[in-house]
Amino acid sequence: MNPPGVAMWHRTRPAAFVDDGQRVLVLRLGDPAPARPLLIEGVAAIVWRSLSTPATSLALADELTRRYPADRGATVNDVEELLGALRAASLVEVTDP
Amino acid sequence: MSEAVPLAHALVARLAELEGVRVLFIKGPTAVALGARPPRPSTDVDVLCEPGGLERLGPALERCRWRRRVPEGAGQELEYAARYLFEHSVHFIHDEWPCDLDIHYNFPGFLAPDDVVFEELWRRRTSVEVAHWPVPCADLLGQSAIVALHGLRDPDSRHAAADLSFVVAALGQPGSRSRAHEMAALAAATGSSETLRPLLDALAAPATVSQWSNPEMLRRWQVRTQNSGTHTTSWLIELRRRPWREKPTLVRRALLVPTDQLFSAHVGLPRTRRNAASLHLQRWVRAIRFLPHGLTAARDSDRWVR
Repeated sequence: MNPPGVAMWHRTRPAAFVDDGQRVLVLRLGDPAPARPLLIEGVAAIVWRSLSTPATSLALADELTRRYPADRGATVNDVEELLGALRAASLVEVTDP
Repeated sequence: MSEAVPLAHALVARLAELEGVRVLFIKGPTAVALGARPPRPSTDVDVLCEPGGLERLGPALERCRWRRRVPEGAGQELEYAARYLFEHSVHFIHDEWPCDLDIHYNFPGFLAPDDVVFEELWRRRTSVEVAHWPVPCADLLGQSAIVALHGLRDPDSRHAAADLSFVVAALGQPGSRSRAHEMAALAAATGSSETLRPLLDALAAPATVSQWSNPEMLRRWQVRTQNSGTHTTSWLIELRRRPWREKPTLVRRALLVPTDQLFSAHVGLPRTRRNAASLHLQRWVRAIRFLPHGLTAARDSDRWVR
């Protein structure tokens, strides 16, 4: 298992999504039968956009603090927590090494 | 709706891929992306399915809790009128999705056999990203033919004239003489040289002879386009066709449709007596409005013998 901050995260595939700049609606299509559109807003939407290419939580936190100056340590924790929630919803995954 | 339609495109494309069914997305966002239709929001997803493919795609949609909308005159009641007026698709609705899926098994105006039309459009297909998902679709010429036929079929509809002008402008740009020739060839290959005549004339396309030219089908097309494809027309054509002993039942059935059918186009509307009465009243008002067109179509339809 990768240590915190080193794991590479990416969007779960296959998935379709619509992004109007404010919010993102994601439809996972691995198994379409139970699929429901899932809404992502706010910081979660920003993180989703940043994951157009795989990134570590540290890189994501760095990008967030550049855009929204805040304590980096706290932002890293927030991002880790957010990625955990997105993973629980099967929207993001850790890239296999 | 603006989010549902693109996501539903992706869903149908994925299901078709998993089921091994060839589909082509038509009209809507794919036609807009290719420059064959003016940009405007779509309210449903239009898909042309390969012949026989609906037998696999339909159940796959039903596993995703989409269900077939109860059509007007479900069952055998409007069988003759449906064939006469080019019935062409199955509608699917879903309680949690605000858009319909319109799965076409043919497209009215292409008078060649369904498999010939599909193969021609499939041969020249392209792909467009909708909701960040690649969906197969008819190419610019195919979409243009479809958008034009859609407008020509119901010339009084809201977008018909603007859509046709848009297609003419899109294909008739300077230096696009070859486009006119290509459109003429596509029309000949799909049996739409006559039905697309207004578009071909506007493009100054060469006259071509189609092996699929069919005077009777063309006459039906003219009845359809001149008299509007409303439910009133369908019921009146069916009524004229039926023997006298069946007419009273059919009239009663036309005036008082079953509850399922009445509410199928109004997902989410509570099934109260008051709403049922209101929907019936709206139906009757529409029927009266379209009665003259329907009577003309019914009279003209007499000449068609299958």
